[in-house]
Amino acid sequence: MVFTPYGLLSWSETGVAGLRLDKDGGTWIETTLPQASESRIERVGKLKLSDTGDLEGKLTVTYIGLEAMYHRVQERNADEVARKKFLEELVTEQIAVGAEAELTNKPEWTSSETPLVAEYNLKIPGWASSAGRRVMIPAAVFTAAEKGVFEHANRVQPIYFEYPYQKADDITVELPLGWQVSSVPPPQDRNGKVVAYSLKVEQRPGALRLTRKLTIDVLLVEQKYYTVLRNFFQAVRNGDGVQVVLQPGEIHASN
Amino acid sequence: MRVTKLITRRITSLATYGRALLVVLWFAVSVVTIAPRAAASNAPDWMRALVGVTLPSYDEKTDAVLLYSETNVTVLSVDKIRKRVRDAYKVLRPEGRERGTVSVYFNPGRKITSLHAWCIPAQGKDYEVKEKDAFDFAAPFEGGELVSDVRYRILRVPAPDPGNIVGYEYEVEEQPFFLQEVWYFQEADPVRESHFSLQLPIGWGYKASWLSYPEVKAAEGGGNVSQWVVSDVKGIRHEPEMPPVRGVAGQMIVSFFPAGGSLRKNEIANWQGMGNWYGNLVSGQMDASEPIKQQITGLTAGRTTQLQKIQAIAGFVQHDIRYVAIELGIGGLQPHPASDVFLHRYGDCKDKATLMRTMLREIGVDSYHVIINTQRGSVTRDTPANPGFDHAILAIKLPDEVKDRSLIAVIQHPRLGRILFFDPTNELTPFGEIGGYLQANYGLLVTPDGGDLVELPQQPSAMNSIQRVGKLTLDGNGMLQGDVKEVRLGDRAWSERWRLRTVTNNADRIKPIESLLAGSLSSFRIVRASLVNLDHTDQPFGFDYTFQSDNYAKSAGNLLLVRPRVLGSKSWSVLETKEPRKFPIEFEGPSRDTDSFDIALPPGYEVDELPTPMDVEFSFGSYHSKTEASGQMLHYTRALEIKELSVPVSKMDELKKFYRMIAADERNTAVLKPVGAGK
Repeated sequence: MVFTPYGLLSWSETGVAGLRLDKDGGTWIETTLPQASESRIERVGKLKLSDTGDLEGKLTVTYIGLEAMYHRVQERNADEVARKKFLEELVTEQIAVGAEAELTNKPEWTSSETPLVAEYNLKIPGWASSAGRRVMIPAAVFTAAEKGVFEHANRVQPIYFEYPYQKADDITVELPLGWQVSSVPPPQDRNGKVVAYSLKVEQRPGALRLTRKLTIDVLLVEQKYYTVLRNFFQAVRNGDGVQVVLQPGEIHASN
Repeated sequence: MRVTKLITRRITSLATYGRALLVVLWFAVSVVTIAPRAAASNAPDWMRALVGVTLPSYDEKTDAVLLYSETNVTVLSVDKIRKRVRDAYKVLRPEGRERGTVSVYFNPGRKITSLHAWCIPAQGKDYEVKEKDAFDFAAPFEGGELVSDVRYRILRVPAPDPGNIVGYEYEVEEQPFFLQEVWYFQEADPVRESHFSLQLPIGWGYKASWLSYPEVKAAEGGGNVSQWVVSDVKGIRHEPEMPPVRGVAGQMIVSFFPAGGSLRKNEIANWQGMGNWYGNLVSGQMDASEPIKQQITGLTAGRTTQLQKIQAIAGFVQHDIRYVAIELGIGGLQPHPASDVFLHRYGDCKDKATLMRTMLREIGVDSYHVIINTQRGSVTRDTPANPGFDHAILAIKLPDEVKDRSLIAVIQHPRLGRILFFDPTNELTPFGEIGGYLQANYGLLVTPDGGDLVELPQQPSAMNSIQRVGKLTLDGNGMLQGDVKEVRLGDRAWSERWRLRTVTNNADRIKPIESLLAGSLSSFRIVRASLVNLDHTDQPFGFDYTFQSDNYAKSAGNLLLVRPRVLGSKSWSVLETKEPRKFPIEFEGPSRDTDSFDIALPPGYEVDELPTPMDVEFSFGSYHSKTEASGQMLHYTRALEIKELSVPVSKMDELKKFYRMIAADERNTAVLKPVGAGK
């Protein structure tokens, strides 16, 4: 398939039997299953929190492997305007509240080997919430995709992921001048062999570094493991829901 | 949500044929891979003349521009009209490629006499596709529609690529149901130039009315020909929750009248005449057969009041007459005889209304058909008479002695007295109420004296409501558990009953509750759940459940962070767009939702800080929330009320602010600290 990096196969050709033709006729083989690390979304943000609670700054999203391929295939007949809208919505849909994204670069749409890199100006109005003199911000930004996954307790069919994938976020949040960090949540780390999740908040001078990683390294999950998988995603959502507690400085207090 | 039981697909089709490329048709074209046998052939002069025309600058999101449109209507007699249509688009973006797909509807009363299409590429030779390259297509039926005689002829123009001009010309001959044409000259694409001509037999006259566009005077030519031209008409770009396009697009409605002045049965001079026309269609269909009379006897036996008898008949037509639409010829407009509907136990909206009207008449209660468009705003107080309706309901003249608090959808009509609106097609809305799609909407009340365009009542917002009450307990590990009772009224009840109407498995019946919890809680387990009054539509619908959520409260050092707004999301990000809004926001109906959560705090903790109360009041709605602490109890209450059904563009900033404040409130946190710990 066009835009598929060398060494990878599209979902329909992944992990399935195929007849390899040779001079003696043919031999049945099974096609390869790529690893999660080969299809990644990497989000790196340099954002700034305003004393009114808005989060704003630069974001770079890199789509690698099949993550890039599917976007390129989907938008192969679209023009620049449609592709821009597509990429902007791709980002804002991952944020659990209303957000504005403005694509600032011209991504490479025709390559199959290079990652698809999109750069944005991002703004999330009202990102922080308040309780009296304290302000809270979530420890993860791009969580919407995992929010409504596997909401029902019962499952009849196996679960078919399109392909193994990985998401890795590295977001730096600069705090308003004079604000202090009251508490950061403890690191979250859940490793279920084929699925893994981690979240960490680190304090930097005047800033926070939020890192999150989600790995789904499996294609087909039998129905009998549904509860385990559902519990994993519930743990992911629990982790995503932790908050950093901030103490505004004089500027905010005087407002 | 909307009960889209069409009075007739044909009405809609008449109004939107030609350029209106239905999504379903587009889908069909996508899957039916018939390659047109295009041949090199010069496009006609009228298209050639468009090459190189100067265009105004359009923004980068403009998919195509309608360079030229021409509709020539020739009225040959009261029952024969010939129509020729020419359209040519310049495709500007890949999204504009679908302009190269032509769809023309036809049926036994509307025949396509010619169809051609062409492409003028930016470079290279012209292409032509002819009618023999087309294929015919019957649109898949929606809802309960079983049979329709409407078909579409589809023709695909080759290479409808950006920079190219695609165009088509077709001619149809039709037997009109009414002597009226609607010229829709404003559409999604900007229009450079659009022409409409009407040729009437000598001695005939016409009346033209303009909607959503300044009136343009006709150029009157010889041979009783009138011509109108509009140019540089802006495109209508879709926005979520905008009014129906029919209500905002520029259009001209032209009715025409035969010589002599005596009204023909298919003339639509005004709403009164439109009502007469529909009344004539209905009048012969309401004979009560003996089986109908027997059914009425059975239904009303033991019922002592007129209201009880009316309710019994309403319940029968709502629940025991299955919605099935068979729309052939005039059957798309005219109800089937009540006796047939009763015998077969099925019918569409107008059939149900007709049967119910027939049955009510047998118990001495007068009622009237009301034809209406379920998209509020399609027909307004200012709309000239036209058949732009898609649904039929009833107006029941309430006997003087019938007075009951449950009868909400009532107006006082100047001639008919108290009338109650009732939709027999909507089997889940209680008698006495109407759904949001009908409220504050305009419908044509068909009376013996003709039609009367009336505004249906808007019900109190509290009648469309979710009232959620939770009694919950939080433990020191952050686990929240407890009971929640939800009471749903109006459309809020309707939507859940509709979703659950075919669900019989108990495990599946709690899925709406699971979805609700999943929208607000990162993890949960339902301990117990039940539905209240699922089948008793005259009673409030309810969810009653117990849940448990681990890690609901988050630790932050020695603090516990608790979101007092436990369940339900009222925020709305529809206005979080970069482009300024051009059209009003339309709400489905008025509503008032309330939440009340009592959260018992874990031993050893006390409240340190609470979110500030939120009190927001605008003309279109209000939001009030409050978190209070009392001993070891956290108490959260909120109320969201939508009062106005349409919010104009001038109030968009207010509306955006409104929903941002709700979003902020929903994320607010209460801080708990160990008892005795300092600030």
